[in-house]
Amino acid sequence: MSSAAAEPGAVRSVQCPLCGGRFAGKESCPSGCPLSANCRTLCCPHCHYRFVEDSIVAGWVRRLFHGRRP
Amino acid sequence: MNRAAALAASPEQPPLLLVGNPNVGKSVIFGALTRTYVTVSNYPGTTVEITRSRARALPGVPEIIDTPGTNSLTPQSEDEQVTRDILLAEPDAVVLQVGDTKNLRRVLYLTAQLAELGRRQVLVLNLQDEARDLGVRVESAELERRLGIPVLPATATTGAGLAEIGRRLPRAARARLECPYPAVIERAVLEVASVLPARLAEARRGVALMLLAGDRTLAGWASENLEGASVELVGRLRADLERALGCSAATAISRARHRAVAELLRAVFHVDRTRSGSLRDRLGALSMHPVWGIPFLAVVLFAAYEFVGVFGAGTLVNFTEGVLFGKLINPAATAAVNWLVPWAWLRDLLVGPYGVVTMALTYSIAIVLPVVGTFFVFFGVLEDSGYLPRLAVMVNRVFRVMGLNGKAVLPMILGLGCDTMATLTTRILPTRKERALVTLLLALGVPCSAQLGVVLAMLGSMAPLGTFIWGGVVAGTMLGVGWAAARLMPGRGSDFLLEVPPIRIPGIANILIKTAARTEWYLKEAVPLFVLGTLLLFGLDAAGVLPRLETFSRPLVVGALGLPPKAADAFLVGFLRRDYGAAGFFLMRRNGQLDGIQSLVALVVITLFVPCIANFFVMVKERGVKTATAMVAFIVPFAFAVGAALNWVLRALAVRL
Repeated sequence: MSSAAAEPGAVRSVQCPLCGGRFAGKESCPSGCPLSANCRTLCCPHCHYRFVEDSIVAGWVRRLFHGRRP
Repeated sequence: MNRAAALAASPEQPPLLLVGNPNVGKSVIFGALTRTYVTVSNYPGTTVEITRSRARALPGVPEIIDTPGTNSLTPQSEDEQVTRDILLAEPDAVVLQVGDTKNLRRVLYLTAQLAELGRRQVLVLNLQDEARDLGVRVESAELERRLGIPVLPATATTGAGLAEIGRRLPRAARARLECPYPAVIERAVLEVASVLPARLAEARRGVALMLLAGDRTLAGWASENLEGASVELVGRLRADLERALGCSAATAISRARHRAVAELLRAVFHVDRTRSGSLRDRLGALSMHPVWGIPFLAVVLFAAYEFVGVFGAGTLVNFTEGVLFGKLINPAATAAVNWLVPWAWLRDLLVGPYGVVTMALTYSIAIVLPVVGTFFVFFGVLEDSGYLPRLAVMVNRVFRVMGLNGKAVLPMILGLGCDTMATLTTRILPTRKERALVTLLLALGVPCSAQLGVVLAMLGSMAPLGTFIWGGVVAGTMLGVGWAAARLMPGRGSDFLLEVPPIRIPGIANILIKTAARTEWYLKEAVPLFVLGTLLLFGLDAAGVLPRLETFSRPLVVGALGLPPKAADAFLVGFLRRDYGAAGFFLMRRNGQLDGIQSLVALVVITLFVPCIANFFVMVKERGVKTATAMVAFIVPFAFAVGAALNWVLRALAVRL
């Protein structure tokens, strides 16, 4: 689940934890779970792996590390 | 081909086609070139999604179409067929081929096929950053000179190299990548090409090769576009070829392409072995080796057992349950409630034996959260290290023995995270039978992350033999049910193609972000269900039903499974969430209410339960009420039957755990 956006015009990309493929992580897909409608998941278009992409707490952690990320 | 023609919507100026292998960053480049609203629609007659948009970053290009990733223009899947069909439907469209620099062999194989279709193209060699990290160097200038087409190094994620696309696109040309086909094939190609429709123009050579290779996906096209005699001619030529070559025409054609690609690679592709992480390469190969992969998996499981079962369930839970909740929160909450609340029923509801604080929050926060949290960290390491796809390769071998479709591996791996999401992903399986079978196996025996954490926690308190027996019973049950079901529901097997990325050193930031996201997801989804389950138990207890339920279930729980009557409570909440039931058994084990055999029997039964109420709803949604109910009607008694048999065997053998 890595992302990079360094130059203007570049699209934030997400790396699939299963196949390692990168794809534009602009839109989350519905988790489909009736008990967690707001569960923000991403679906890899290459291998169809689904994973939890983001959350409020994950956002804090991401910001905490932001300066240290390549 | 009719559906392909239906897609071709812009007769005046052809679109730009983005073509490439899967996982090469095509979609990122598409986003960078369009920077605008996109239209996503199913390709006519299929479930394959096609993305198209105006190409704002490319003046003069009316539209850009992002085709599904493909490894070959001889399709092995519906996705690949759609890409091939779009190429045939848009004979004048320029192709922007995107490739992974590290896998130049696969890239050039596709380039060769595009050249045979006479396509004008530009080649973008993406993922330059990853190639550099692996010590891979491609002489792009030399490759450009040899192919005669623009070759652009790029790293799409940073935008590097993308500005060149617009500038070099007008110089798109047909690649000079001639494949040394045997003379008999060349003669057959000429003969077939002579009977193909003239409108195919320069694509005739490529289509002739596809027909001679026996591409079955072209059968419909051939019957619509060729005379009957021409179809017969193709069949006869193919049979003649195979007699002359001593192998299938497809094999001979593929070999010739690979030879041409290999020759080109020798000239332009270099790997600095000292930088290519040879130890990581060896580890990666070892982890999916048919023999050595098994001890490797055992080491991974042992690490999980130590980290989750011993550290998470021991050290952390001792603190959260024993100190934090046991000595601070629960006593303080009980004192506060007793002081503030005058009604006995409300006091019981909050801090009684089935209290929201003393049971629901204690179970979910003090017991399950530390265990699940450590499991999330471990799962994050597995994901970030690149081990998961290797595990998929290992599982795929087992599935092939069972006679299942290779694609079934993915939902199984996903199920280790969340069975509900995995059940939804069964949609990728080609037949209804396979979707039903994998849904059944998921519900039956694949523990989700939360449950696996609690299972490991309980196993951590037993002798190692307990882990082997639990693993053996669950795996054996899955294999047995899967094998029997596959025999009853035969389906056409297919290969599972999965990109296996290199083994990586997990990044701390990535793991923490994933763990945070999953922990929040657990708290939002699981805690309300824990509260609901507690309210259910409280209500049943208050109404006097719970003691009667315990008495009613005594022959099963006590007689057959050999468990204390109180275990009925854990099974009851296990219907809401398996990990809630498992947490109940975990606490009973910690309090000395379960011996080794009882713990193991309880664990096996709760593992084979339906994962959670949400999973059941998704089963209903995906498979229908009838099928979902039938599955649950099979799974629940089956789980108890396996548990009863295990209890009987372990006691007969006087196994000590």
